[in-house]
Amino acid sequence: MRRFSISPPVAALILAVILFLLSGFLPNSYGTDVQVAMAQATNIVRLAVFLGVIAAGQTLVIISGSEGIDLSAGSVVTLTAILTYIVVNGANEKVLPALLMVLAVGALIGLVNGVGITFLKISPFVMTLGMAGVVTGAIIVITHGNVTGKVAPIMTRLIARPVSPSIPIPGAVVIWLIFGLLMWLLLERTTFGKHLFAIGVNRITATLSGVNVTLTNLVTYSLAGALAGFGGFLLVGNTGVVHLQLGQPFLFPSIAAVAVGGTLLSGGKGSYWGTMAGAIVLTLITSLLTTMQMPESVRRMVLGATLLILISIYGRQRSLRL
Amino acid sequence: MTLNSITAVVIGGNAFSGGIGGVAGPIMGAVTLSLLQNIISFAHINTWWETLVKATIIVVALAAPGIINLIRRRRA
Repeated sequence: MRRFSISPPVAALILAVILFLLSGFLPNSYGTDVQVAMAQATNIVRLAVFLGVIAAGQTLVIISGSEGIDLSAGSVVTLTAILTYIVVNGANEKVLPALLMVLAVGALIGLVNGVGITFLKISPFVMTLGMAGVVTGAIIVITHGNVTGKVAPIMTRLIARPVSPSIPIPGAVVIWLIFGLLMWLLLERTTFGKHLFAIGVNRITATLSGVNVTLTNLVTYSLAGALAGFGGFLLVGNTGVVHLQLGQPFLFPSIAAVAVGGTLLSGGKGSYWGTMAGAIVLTLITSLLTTMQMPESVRRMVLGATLLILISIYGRQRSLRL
Repeated sequence: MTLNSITAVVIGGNAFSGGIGGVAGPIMGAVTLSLLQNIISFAHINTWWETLVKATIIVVALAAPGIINLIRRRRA
């Protein structure tokens, strides 16, 4: 009885384009100026990069199924952003060590999550929420509430500035495209990716088919932590300053972006392209509502309602398991 | 705080997977949590460490049933 079907990533992108075109009618928007419209579109995609990268780890964890979710992503982003800020301290040559350290710290936090979830059978929801508390505590211990440091010029150059004066595309967008390609390779072209989808659909059949469920789960959570860490690194490169609540506002949107992109929250089905589209849609809606000078409360309500509507539309598709 | 309300339920013995639980458990859980906060305040723990200590205790408490299970399975 399915008359027509359209894949969620495409649907989300179409929604984004329509919304963006409609936004031209707003009184204080770009109007008929194509140049300004392009600039604004680029800007929105640039802002979506950070949400997109942070949501990458969330995508992996959600695909892995059995209530998989990473509520510690927001705190990990804050922690890694602060660590980058402190370690780099304005020196270009320290950027690479900082990046490696940040990835390691993220992966370690993710690994602890994974150990708690796979070996101690704590629900992912509770475990990652608890880890979020621990990481927040660690942030306070490390910084004592005030952070001193500096972002290296090369980070701002690579992330926030356009690639070259003639190409007005910010470096972050290029990084995101490469990142998206790598995520696609990871999900669709590696054994790990196949195993990830397998354990997402059904853990028992996966075990019986010879998938090492425990290992896959551990790797998934570690990767999710590392990706959140990378998100923090990019974020601080863009903003240039840190504060103790830097990452927390990304937590709910990162889950929402995954859902909007058509990844089943029950696991086993999804793609990173969808998450990228979802991140763009969410950033676009937030930015439109800001342009319309809506208060924060209305923004939250609209975001929540969008999420509900989109998920209920996707939910009408045939489910993977009954 | 979300974490606190959920922790109260879990410490109270309601399984997160559902199907087991009652009302008295979470109430005791909430009392335990408040006691914890009280102890931390009176133990002269440095303010900077307060959140970390509290969250760690909560995570360990959440992990305890799993650890006990693992040890039991080893022995059996």
